[in-house]
Amino acid sequence: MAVSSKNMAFRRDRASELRQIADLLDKHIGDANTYCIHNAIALLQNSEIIPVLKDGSTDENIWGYDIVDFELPVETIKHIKPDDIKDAKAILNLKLRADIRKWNTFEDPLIELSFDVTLKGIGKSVYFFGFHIDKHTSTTHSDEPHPIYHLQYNLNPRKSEKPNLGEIFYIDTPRIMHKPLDFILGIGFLTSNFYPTAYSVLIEDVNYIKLSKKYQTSVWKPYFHTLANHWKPFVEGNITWKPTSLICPILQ
Amino acid sequence: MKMSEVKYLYIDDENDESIDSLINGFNDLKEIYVERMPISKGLNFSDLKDSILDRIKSNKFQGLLIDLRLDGTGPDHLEYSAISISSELRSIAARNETPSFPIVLCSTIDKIRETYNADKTSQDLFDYTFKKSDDPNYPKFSRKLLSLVRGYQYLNDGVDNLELIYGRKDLNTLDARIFERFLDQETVPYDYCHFTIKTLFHCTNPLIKETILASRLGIDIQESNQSWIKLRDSIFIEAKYQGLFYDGWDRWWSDVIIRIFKDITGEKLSFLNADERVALLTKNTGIEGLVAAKPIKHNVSSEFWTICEAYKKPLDPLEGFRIQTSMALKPWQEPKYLSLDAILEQVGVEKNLKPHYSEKERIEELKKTLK
Repeated sequence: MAVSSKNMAFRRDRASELRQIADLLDKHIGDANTYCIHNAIALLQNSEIIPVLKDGSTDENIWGYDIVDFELPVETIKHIKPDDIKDAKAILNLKLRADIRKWNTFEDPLIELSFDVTLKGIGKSVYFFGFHIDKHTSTTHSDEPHPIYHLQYNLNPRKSEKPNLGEIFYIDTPRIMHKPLDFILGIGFLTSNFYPTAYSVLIEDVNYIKLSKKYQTSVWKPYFHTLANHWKPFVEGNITWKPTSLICPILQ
Repeated sequence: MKMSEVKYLYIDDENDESIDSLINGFNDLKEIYVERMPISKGLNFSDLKDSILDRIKSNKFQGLLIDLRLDGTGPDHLEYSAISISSELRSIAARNETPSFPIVLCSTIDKIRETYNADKTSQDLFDYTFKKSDDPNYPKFSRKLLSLVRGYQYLNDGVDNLELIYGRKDLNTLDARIFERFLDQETVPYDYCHFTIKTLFHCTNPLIKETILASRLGIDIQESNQSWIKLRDSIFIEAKYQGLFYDGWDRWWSDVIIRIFKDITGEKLSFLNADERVALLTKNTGIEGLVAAKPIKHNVSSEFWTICEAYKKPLDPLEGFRIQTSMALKPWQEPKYLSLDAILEQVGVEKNLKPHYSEKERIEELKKTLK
């Protein structure tokens, strides 16, 4: 079954935005591989392909993409340990599934999200660290209550049976409440943390700012409005903690 | 026409035993036949062009083998080089005045260095280049030259469907930038031929060569020997490239390799080291005797994804140094690398393999840590 033309128009718009971010990366960051983004774009534009949800179901109102092994060099290696690490990279694997009908509404825009980052450093040995920003869904059972969108660190991303952890206490790290990240917002997050030179170039490009704002509205606005609405009613004039960029620099 | 009757017209300004030896080298194998076109000193450009075209149009010959420096010091030397005559022949074929045909360059290594490497624009003219040496690899060259003729003939028959040409029904699942040059544009066979060899075969991604395939699977080709061939030709045969010139160049689709590995092991290839990849392959395929590759001297990671182009051995790109290339990479192509040891030992220098200038600082830093 092919996807309806209305839904395909929506998917083509999202594909076009992914193409814009890939072009920005090609233009400003020579050492980012954009091939994996274009593979995701090809599937998003293909009306024969409907993304599959975790439970195996498909619905033509679902859109999404997988970014496989997107790599960025890690530039911020001045504070890192062990000292022998000479080069490092961040590897993103992202799986996003969402309902077309909920985009740009006040409902949760995403159905499934797995924003998985592995950091790999090389020195006298190979070192790993990782974290993910996920959406907790009812199918992922857990004993601990935690926020629906959360960040969690992973001290053993390669699932080594005998990880060499030194003095680190290996335990499930806390699931810290975190705003959802799609690929476009994720680029801001990854570059600002690991490749600040690239981030400083990107935020000077008006096309990146436009794109980022668009996704802040689509992905973050429903999330933060819903949270703020917990303490209603509030008077807009009482909100004096400004500007919001003090809380989060990307909110320009 | 029987495939064994594929004939190349050979033009050279030399006229000595070395020429006979080259012709016999090909003809003795009986894969393709090479016949020298008699030329006389000072033959003018237009007459040479017409003589070549007559022989191609009549299908007596299907390809052209040409020495680089026709204007050299040979007894039959001409006033112009292979580059100018080939350029004219390409233009004529592009205007569809003749069928398109392969043009292969041969010359001594010194002449190639002197002329061809310096003039980058001319490198696009030739489908294949081989160096005249003391011990030419005739079986390899014959295979390529035969494949070129078959490929050109296939395209001359009017095939212009990308999925047929590249032997894959789901090309639309790949990065659209790769094949977009052929969409809604007038193309001639040479466009496909040139793109296939220079862009798809000579670069990494979306196709990969055998050494990189083995690297990604974590395998030491020599140590694994027949087990490697079994694995390559059974489990991963579906990933083998079957498109234009497939019978001259062995390549595999990178994305299909990753999918097959996931299908048979349930794991993600890039997140495993060589020992883990090989253990999973052995367990899930039942093929015994696969040996995991070890890192090159000075390296520690076995999360291999590429090779050191000097040693042709597996390498984790994070430990590699990008190679200086004459052409800028396309955004979908992966760089080629050298290992630190190859740089320190100056391996590959004779093949012009040297690290990209931007890597110099990193190399110096690493050298200090080795002392």
